[in-house]
Amino acid sequence: MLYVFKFPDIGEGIHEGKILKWHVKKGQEVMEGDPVVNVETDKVVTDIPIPKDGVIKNTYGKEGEVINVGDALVEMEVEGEEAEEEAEVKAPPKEGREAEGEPASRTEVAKAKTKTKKIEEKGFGVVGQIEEADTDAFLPATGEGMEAQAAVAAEKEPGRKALATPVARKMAMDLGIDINTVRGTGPAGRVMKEDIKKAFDEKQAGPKVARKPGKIEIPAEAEDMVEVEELTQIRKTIINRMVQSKFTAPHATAFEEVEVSRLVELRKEKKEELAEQGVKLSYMPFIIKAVSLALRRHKSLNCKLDMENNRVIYQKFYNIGFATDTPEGLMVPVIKNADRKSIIEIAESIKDLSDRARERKIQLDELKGGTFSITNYGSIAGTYGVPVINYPEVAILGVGRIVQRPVVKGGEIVPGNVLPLSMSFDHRIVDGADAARFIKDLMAMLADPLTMLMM
Amino acid sequence: MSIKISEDYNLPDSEMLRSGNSYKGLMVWVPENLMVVVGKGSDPEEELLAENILLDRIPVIRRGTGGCAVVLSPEMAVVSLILENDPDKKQNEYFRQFVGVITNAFKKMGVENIEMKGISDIAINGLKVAGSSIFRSKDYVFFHSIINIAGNTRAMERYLKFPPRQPDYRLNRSHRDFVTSLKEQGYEIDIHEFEENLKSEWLLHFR
Repeated sequence: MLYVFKFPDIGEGIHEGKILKWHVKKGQEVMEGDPVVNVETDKVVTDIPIPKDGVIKNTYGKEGEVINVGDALVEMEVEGEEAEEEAEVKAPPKEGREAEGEPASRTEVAKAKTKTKKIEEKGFGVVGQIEEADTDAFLPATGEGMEAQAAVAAEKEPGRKALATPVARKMAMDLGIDINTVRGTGPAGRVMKEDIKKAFDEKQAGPKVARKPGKIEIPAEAEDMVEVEELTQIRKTIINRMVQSKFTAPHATAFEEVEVSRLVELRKEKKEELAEQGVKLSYMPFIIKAVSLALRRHKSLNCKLDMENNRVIYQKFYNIGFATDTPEGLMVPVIKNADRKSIIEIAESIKDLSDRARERKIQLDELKGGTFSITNYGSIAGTYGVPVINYPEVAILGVGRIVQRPVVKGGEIVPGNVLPLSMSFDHRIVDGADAARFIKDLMAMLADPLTMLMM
Repeated sequence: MSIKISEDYNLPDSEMLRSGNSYKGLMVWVPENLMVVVGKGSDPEEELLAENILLDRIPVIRRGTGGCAVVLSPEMAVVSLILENDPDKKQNEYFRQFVGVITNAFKKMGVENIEMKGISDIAINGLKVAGSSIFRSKDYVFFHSIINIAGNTRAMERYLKFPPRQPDYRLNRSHRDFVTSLKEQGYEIDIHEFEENLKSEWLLHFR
């Protein structure tokens, strides 16, 4: 019987991906776990494995085409029980293409509908390892970002027909909501009753301030003077994340300076020694360790605000994300349980994760689950900044460049090494005093790293 | 003649031990006076020269960690550390790490040919300069190492019998032939500098 494998939800907030390369052709026999297509998602380029054994009947989408989660990827013949149910498939094959063995273009066939024998689809990940999305996923789904995406999706697919149960459809009709414009949060994008309720509430609340930027026209006479590049998936993600954070969490930023001569000395002393063992010791492992230890004492900086349920979730694990500059843009790999790792282990993790982020070999789950982030722009240049919180985290630390400056020690003016810190926090849940107390503890550890031994 | 053994362990690291896993830390301390400390399971009759101990009125204390009886004196330094227990980590792995940090700290100070020997000893040129033991609970690991900075072996010979158990490298040598001090090996150790080195080593290597 026929089985349609859809582009799976490979992480919360990931809604689309670009097909880079097909690994299979029509008529090809595949085994469960075989990569069928190479896709550029928001943060990584990854292979999508097929969840069943079978023979490929059709592939949907051309290389370079953007597909949405829930869109049909592959139609295949599999062995097994038939489930007598009709399912909608967003991108059925076009006969002409089928005959040629060429993938059907999604835009050409989006409105079509076909009958197929439905097989229950399990949640499948990429590279066979990615877990189902959870609330810690690196692309959080809140109304802010989603609203814009749903609108974009609706614009892109005017004939888009939402997946929904009859109950949900009736509810939408009763409330005067066009269900096809509602973004579904259920399996494979299914529109749930909650989604309709939310859409109704938003409709009742009236129009929001338009956040979709206007179209930029390029005058014909200026065409030779500009270079136009299509946004990459990663850049789109960054845009959504930044907008979501700034429009959701009221940011407040605290600035501080800490004299870190002892840290500079310690790092200098150990740097060469560890280099011989292949460990690159920057200041970041010390900062990450100190942050993770300070977070253990200041739970409000390591929480999540769950407004849906009017509660705060205090996390007793300390996963520190560190902003990494890659050729494709910003990525934030996460060092899990940093408080339980030695500084050498953190140094090794930083190198491993950032190298793989730059090579785009990093796994999605290595970009998820952060509880606090650090951005070290000082490694390039800059003293202070107003970092944007990596929402739904509630704080981010910006680390500036260490500068030599005169400082007063024991009543004497002496040369010092000053590290500028800028910490943005979500002022809904983190009070200024909490932030200040956290920074004070952090500064104490950075000023005298050996005090970390006592934390 | 029987020796009275104090079961009230009240040395400087006792607070650390009592705090258990609520405390994480490392300290280096120097005993204030001469004393004998027996291991948790030590048999005083088997390990101590009771007559001399009683005659010289040397206090004897029982510690919570394992191992044989030792002599503590103001010429020695004790490294005590406590940290959260990792149930997956084997005992010898802990010893290797703890002892490794101590030997690295001494190497930084120019001490040569210093290495781990036996289960948890530290030796220079094959002579014992420190002994270590561990107390491990479900929640935490408490380690201490007694380092002979400048002491001689006279007190050991006077108060301790030949130990009932010995590491391979001891080769039945007497205290005098088996034990040395850093001073005897030509190293003047500044305890404060050693402590700083030790802490920075530990900071990098431990969780």
